[in-house]
Formats: sequence, structure tokens, C-alpha cells
Amino acid sequence: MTNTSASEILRAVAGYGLPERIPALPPSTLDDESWEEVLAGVVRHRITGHFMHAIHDGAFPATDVQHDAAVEAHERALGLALLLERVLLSTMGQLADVRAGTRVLRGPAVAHTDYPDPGLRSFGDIDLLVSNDDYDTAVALLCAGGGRRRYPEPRHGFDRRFGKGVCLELPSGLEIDLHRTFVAGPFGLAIDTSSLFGSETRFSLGGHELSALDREGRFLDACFHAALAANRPRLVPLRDVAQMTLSPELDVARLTELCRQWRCGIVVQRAVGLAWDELGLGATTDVVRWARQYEGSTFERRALCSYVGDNPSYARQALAGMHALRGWRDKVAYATKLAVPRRAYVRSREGSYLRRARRAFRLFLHERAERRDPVAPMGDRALS
Amino acid sequence: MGADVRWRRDERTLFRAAPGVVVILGPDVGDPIALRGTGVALWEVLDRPQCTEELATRLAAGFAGDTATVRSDIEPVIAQLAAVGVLRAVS
Repeated sequence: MTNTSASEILRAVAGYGLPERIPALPPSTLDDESWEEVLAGVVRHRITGHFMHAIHDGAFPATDVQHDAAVEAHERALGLALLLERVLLSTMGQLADVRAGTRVLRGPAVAHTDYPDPGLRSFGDIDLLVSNDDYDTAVALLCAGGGRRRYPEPRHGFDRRFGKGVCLELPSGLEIDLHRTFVAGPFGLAIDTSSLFGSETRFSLGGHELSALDREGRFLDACFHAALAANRPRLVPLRDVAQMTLSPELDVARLTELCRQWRCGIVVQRAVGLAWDELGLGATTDVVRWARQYEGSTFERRALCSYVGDNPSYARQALAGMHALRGWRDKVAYATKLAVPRRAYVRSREGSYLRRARRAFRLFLHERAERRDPVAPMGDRALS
Repeated sequence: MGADVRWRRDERTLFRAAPGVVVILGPDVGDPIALRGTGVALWEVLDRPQCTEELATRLAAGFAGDTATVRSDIEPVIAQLAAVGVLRAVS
């Protein structure tokens, strides 16, 4: 038996195969209770691929029974990935028919382009980026095919102009996220999404060629995914960040220029810091060196607080979004659509206009107090 | 099927290989299927069109086994994979 805790073991599994790792895998087989805890965590964090490879390489000692249980868990993860990829192919076909501009995001894109073996990267849904011009058409098309929005739109046109996107539940029970930008709130609004369609990385799937974001775009998306989770992120996006950070092909000059344009350097700093911290990595690359010395602007620090600071919420992100918009026309349109949303939207969020007004007032007071005494944005140990 | 039939993976088939298992989703079936043991080796040697005899010979060489025995082992698996559209017969 080992004294290593389940969370330490999970971190070691998530970093398996990366250079200069500090957390150690258990030196001997785990007892049943510890094994069950670790296996459940491996499934929850979607790292069954790394787990299987560690066991297969003999780096993670396992009994025959434990080995078979790990194979079964990984088999389920792989089966889900394949079912989702079939949905992806079908959806991309439909969107291609209407000539919608699309890029595959996250799970399948990263699995097929950033990992040596796509089986190492499990995922639980499909994320697609759709160009602003084609966004409404894409949503209508998928809804006509049986997709159901999980949340209504605040007001007509809000999603296309200001929203992150929409999560659609398909008749099969699987989910597809149609993104207009990477994340909701100020960071999502600060991204020039049209520039994401200027380049691409192609990958083959089921006899088709699909387009993912280029390498720096994928890296930034992974950073947003890893850094802005309100609770501790799953280990899989942190592994993505580490995997891409350690790639010698990542263009640091282009990356830092995008961070400047999109005002998101602090997101990269936090994502790399979390990945290095959680996975116990020691390797230093140009991106790591850049992240260590980066100093976020006032906008970036305040924006980050709306995601991961004290009392983060969608409402705080929505309020902070005002600071990301340039030009009074956009600010007025944004504020109007959020201040007086449709009844269906209010019902799904606060329940009534009165409750929404009360909540907005409390939020206003909270924001005013925080401006006097800002919360430290990192929330975690700084990258060192 | 005749002995000269060559088998290839249907290009629309989605699959993932991992140590000890291959999970495959054919274009016309509802659920993925999993191959283990010699099925994994069979899937690996199906990387180009080959007839059953050629496949059996390659696998027998890899496992230092008897070609006839291997052929009788893989024939039902090939038939099953063909039935679900994962493999296509090419002349």
C-alpha cells in the first residue's frame, strides 16, 4: 500500500508521459478502497488514456482485476468519444451544406492534433466555433434537427453579437456546444473571433477533412478552458495546456501578440501556472518564462475576478463584459439587452424581473465595494 | 466469401486503439464494438487491403503460430466486422 493520496495519484496520472514531473505514481498495487477512489477520479477527470498507458508500461502497478477494470473504463471513454465524433461529422456536414464558417474546438480537435494518440484525450461533448455571420443559421439548423437549447437567449440577436454560444441537447442525449467565442463575459467579448477563421489546422476523421483552430488558437482556447473554471478545473484541460506548452512548434511571438490584442495574457499566465502546479512540472519553456514575468492590466485583473475571484457568477461576468466592449453603441446595446431580457430568459435564471432587479442591485454594491478593495486575481499559488 | 477477397477498413469507420483494446464504430451501426486480444492484432494488420490468407500469415508470423489455426480464428471476426460495415470487400 502507499501513503500517497488519491488526488496526488490523479495528478501524477494526468501528467504521465510529460517530462520533468514531480508527483510520483504509487510504487505498489493499491488496496481495493484506494483503487476504487483512484479509478473513479480517473474517469471523472477523463484521463483514462494516460492511466491505461501508465499501467501498460508498468509504471502504475495493478493486479489483473484492476487492469481489467481500467480497460473497461477506458473502453467506455473511447466509445463515447467515437459516438461524439459521429455527431461531429454529421453536424459538420450539415453546416458545410449551408457554407457556415466553423472550427472544431477542444476534445476531438486537440485529440487529433496535439496528442500522439487520440485515445489519450477523452471528452464528453462536442464544441464547435461558428462565425458570427453564420451563427443564427447554424443554431436554427441544429434546432430544426431536434436540438434543444439548454438556456433561452436573453434577447433576439444577443448570442450572435455578445454571447459565448449555446449548448444544444440532441435527441440522442449527447450535447453540442455551438460557440461564438471561447467563453462568456469580458474575456470572450475581447476576442476578435473573426481572426480565428483566418488560419486552421486540418485533421482527418472518418474519411473527412475537418478544420480546427491553428496551434496558437487551440492553445489559447485550452487556457481559457483551464483557467476560468469557477471551481477547480478537471485535470484534462490542464494536461492540454501542458501538452501544448511543451510543444516546440508553439509560436511564442504570435501567442504573445494575440494575448496583447485580446487582453488575455493573464488567462495564459493562470492556466500555465495551474498546469505546472497541479501536474508538478519542472520543465521551462519560452511560454513558461513569459508567463512568469507577465503583468496583467487592470482590465485583465478585474475581468479575471469575475470568473475566479470571490463570488464568481455569470452575472458578474456579464457586468464586467461592459469593460471589454469598445464604442458606446455596443455598450448601450449590450446593457439594454441584459437589463430588459425576455420573460423566458428571466424565468430560467432569476425567476422574476423583481428578483433580477434585486440581484442586479446587490451585484452593483458588491462591485463598488470590490473596486475599493480589489481581490487578488490569481487565487492560486503564483507560477514560480 | 471467396479466398481472393481482400479486406480493407471502411474509411468512414471511426476507431481508437489503446493498449490491449481497439474500439470501433462502424458507419451503419448504433454502438461501438471492442476488440481485445488477437482482435487488436488483426485490426493492426488490416492497415491495408489484404485477403484472409495474407492476414493469417502476417499474424501467424507475429505470434509464431500456425497459419491454418490463425485463419480459423480470424475468419469469424472478419465476418462479424464485415457484417457491421467496418470492413469492406475489395476485389
